[in-house]
Amino acid sequence: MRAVGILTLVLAAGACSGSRSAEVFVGSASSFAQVLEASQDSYGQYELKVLVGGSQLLVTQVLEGAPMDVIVTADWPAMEALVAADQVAAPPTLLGHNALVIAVERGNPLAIGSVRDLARPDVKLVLAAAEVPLGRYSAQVLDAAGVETRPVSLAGSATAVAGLLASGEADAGIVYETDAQVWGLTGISLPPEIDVIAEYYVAPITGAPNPEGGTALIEFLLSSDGRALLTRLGFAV
Amino acid sequence: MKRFIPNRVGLLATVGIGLLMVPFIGLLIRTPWTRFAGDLSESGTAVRLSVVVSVSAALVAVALGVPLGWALARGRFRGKGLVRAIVLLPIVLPPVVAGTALLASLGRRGFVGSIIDDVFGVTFPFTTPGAIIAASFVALPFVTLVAEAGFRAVDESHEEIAATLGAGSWRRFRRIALPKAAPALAAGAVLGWARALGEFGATVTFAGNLDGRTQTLPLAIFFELQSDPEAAFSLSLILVAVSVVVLVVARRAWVR
Repeated sequence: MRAVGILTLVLAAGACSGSRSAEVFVGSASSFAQVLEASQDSYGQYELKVLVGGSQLLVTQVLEGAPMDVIVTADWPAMEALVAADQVAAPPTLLGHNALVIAVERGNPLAIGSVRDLARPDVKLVLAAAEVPLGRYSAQVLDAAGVETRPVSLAGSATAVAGLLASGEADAGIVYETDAQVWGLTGISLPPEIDVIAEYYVAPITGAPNPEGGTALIEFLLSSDGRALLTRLGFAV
Repeated sequence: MKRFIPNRVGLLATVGIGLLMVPFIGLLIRTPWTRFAGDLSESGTAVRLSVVVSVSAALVAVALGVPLGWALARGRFRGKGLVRAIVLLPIVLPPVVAGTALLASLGRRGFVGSIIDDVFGVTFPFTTPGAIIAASFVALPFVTLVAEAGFRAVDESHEEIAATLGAGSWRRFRRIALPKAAPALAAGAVLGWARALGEFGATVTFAGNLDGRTQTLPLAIFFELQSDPEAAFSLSLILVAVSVVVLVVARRAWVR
């Protein structure tokens, strides 16, 4: 019966891991993960487990019962889906803002200067998919500018867009300002009339395995230390 | 003699088959049957693209995998073990690693891709040919290994007799080995095609995601899951059904 014993152990370990209070599972929009990774030291007693993904995929995972304590989404529609499904334990809080920029390879070899250049046939443009927050923001920017583009690919998360630009496979994209910094891309600011400001929301998840840890994380992010961290990493609070 | 399965073996075997079956049962339960036809027709572009990409990839994999399988079965050369290991690699490699490796080599900045770009002005990422390359890469090992096994199973004596009658090596390959291994080759082709049809990680990494160009059915499922999970469930079920049919067909060809 040893094999059965081992199997039972594996199952038991799986069942227990959710209730170990030393860990906090936080689902994070890919563009916000760097804040959470930098939070670990200041946040102290709990070990942060950051599940990085497109906000929308994280929402789907929560709706399908993934045991998360906290979720950070990069826009309101993603969070609203959780609110509507009664999956948040407390009302979501606005965490901070992020700007959008046109990102190009360092040095801007194709001399891209405005949103209009994104429609140039010689520019390989990558946008975030319409399913994720960055894709929704990007569509707003392009709509406001009245520019019709022909992207070569629609990436599944904000960092995926930045990654394709950093690797040189694509020439231009619309990314969060903070991601442009992290990935060493040249960012071109958008003029105020078409600019869109990204909003990050945080909420504790209903039925969280570690609600105290989740609350502590949210309190930290909203504290003056947390806000200082966000500012340092390029977010506006 | 009737063979009894020992209790503990039987128990674990039951758990094993349960682990394999439970996800499909879940899919069956969650699939919104009333929307099934609608979801399928709405995803027509992805379905058509998947057919084009998977069939093309299967053809590439057969064109290259059958000769490779023959070389492994019959060839006598140094480094055969290494060749076989290389053939096996894409099977055990995470597809996302395959996609990353393809980017590093055939991407715009890759050592092959940059030359092709300079000479022909063509790049593979974000194109349908790029998706076909990604699918071929993961399908090739399956075709090769099944072809190798197929050629091994062919009795060489016929070819030896043909050789004494003056048939050249190409003629022996084409007229004897190939027809005799045909059922296995067909099974390999079908398996390779199925692997190409299901390819996700290498495709999304190397070829990207664009409706009508590189968004195959698995990519459509991944993105639907984020906007319309029910559509993702029904599309997944279609791929499960296709895979089951493939296994039945391939097995029949294999056993024959």
